[in-house]
Amino acid sequence: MIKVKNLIKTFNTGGTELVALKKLVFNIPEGQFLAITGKSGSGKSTLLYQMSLLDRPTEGEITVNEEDIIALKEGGRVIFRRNNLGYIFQDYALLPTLTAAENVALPMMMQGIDLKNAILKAEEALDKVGIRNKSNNLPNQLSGGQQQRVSIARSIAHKPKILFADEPTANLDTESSKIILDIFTKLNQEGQTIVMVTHEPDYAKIADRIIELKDGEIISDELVKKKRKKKKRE
Amino acid sequence: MLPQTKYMKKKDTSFSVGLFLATRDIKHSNPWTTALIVFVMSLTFLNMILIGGILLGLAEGMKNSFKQYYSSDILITPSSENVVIEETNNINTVIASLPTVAAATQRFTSSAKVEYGYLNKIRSSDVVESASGLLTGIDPVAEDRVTQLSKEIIEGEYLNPNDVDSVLLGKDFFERYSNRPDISTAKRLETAQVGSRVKITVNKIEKEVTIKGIVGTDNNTIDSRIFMVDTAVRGLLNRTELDANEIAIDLQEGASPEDAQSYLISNIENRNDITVQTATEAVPGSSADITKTFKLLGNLVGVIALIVGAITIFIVIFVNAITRRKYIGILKGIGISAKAIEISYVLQAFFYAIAGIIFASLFIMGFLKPFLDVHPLVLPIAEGHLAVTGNDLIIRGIILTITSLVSGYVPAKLVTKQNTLDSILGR
Repeated sequence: MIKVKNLIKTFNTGGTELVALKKLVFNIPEGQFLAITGKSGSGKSTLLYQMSLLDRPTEGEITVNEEDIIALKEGGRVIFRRNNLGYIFQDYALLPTLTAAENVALPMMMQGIDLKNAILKAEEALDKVGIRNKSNNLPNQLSGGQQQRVSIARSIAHKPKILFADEPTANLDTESSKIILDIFTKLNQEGQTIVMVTHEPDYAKIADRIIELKDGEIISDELVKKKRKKKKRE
Repeated sequence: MLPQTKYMKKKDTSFSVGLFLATRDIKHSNPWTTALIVFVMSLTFLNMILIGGILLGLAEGMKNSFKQYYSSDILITPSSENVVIEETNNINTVIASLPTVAAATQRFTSSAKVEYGYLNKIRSSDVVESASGLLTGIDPVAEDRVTQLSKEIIEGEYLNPNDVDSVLLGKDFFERYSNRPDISTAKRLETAQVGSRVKITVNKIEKEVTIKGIVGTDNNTIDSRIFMVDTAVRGLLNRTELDANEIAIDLQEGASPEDAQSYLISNIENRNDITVQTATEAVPGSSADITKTFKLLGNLVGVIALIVGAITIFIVIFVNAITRRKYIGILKGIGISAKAIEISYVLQAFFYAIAGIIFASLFIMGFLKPFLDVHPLVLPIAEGHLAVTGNDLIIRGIILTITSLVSGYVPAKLVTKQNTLDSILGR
């Protein structure tokens, strides 16, 4: 599904060139739950930003279903993200003036679904993450865990091909983190492709595969052995 | 390579999403902040209307009072080569034949001096109160029919046709009434009152008369005159002919002054010896210049207010957008187009502008204008009303709205064009 080939990302910091990603090569098949781990500064978030079209690599190729996404212009990238990708940010990134349901409905409205139907679909997505009863609450009326669940609902409501999660449990307590990880596991069992960045090795173990980065290089790429049944995604 | 067109949507939802974001932003924003922004926009709009409107109102007030108390609809005066209106009687006959005439009055004028206190003068060094003005002989009844001068008596009484030994003095003669800084105190009567005996001197001919009343119109052409019954003035001026110096003609309501002017010019035989002017033409050049200057000043103040309003909206939207830069990044990150985000900010600017304009318009038309109509600003040159119409409000409202839309768009564009990831990460 996703093919990363010779991916290089460099930053210029005060005249010095910092190589954040060094010729990375790997593929992510459809339906896989990939965890990218590594210490702070290893390049894991930078890698996620390149794959999720939030940033442009310096060199290399990224294709999604054989389509070169790096070549897309800004307008095309926005539309591609809207129609194919879902994001979960570390700090939830909910809009404070929208209710939980409206936050979830917004990307669908941009896709052309009217407000009423978008809200209905948003409530279904909130139901999926177990907080339908909070659909009319503003973000500041929700706990951190609940906000992150709204963020997940927003990212899956439009049924994206790939779900990207950047340190989704970093700001949460253990109990809330477990709830979020359970939701990811469930989504993945339903066939959702997930790419999650985490610095917690224990949380990474729920994934099918773990890529560990160090100084912009892949130092390990392992499949996690576990028994579970996955549904083929419709 | 993936063709760009593949990702172009058939239906552009930017406006509906922008509207949705704008309404939610306004709904959930701090009501005091919203009220403050709307208040500032109201003040901006008031500023655009008020100063210009009052200045224009003053200019109109000057013109109106000039017409009301002096020229009426048509004014006939001698041509520049003549001192009096020759063959006034014939002209009066033509005026009487004018189909749209309502009333007319003729005036006999000459420069004169008024003195008070001369009876008590013992030594040559004793100061006598004196002032100069234009002695104006009128038929009190005819004059009142045209200018309704009797309604402007602020002290004492109006003249009767038999009051040959009485005068009405304009309020500019009196220290206590005059608010004209261009006349020094030494040229005013300081202690004379209604009932006082004063001496009128015209061409070295003196006549003692009683002050019967004081006229106050706030029009300095009238307020600096000495009104006397015409027969007495003609005697004083030793004029045997009936040739007047001014004829003011009042037309029936709705009648065209231009048509009346054409009629008079075509029918008066000695048309070359006189000047026939409509009220607009008769307004002194200085008044026309003042009107022009006031209009210019009003527009200038309006433009400054507009710039202030534009900057206000720009700052409000810019601060709003900058403080929400991260959210704008997130919006773009989750696939909301920059266009939709820009529209949301433009619509917020539109809301602030429209709300401000509506509140200010209600205040102007519902309170300020009616209030100033009843309690005009009294200034030395005229009474100041608020000269503003519904059209003025609409035109200035449109200008302010367009300016606000541009002022809202520019900062939104500046923020949305920033790199999405930089916005999200706040770098």
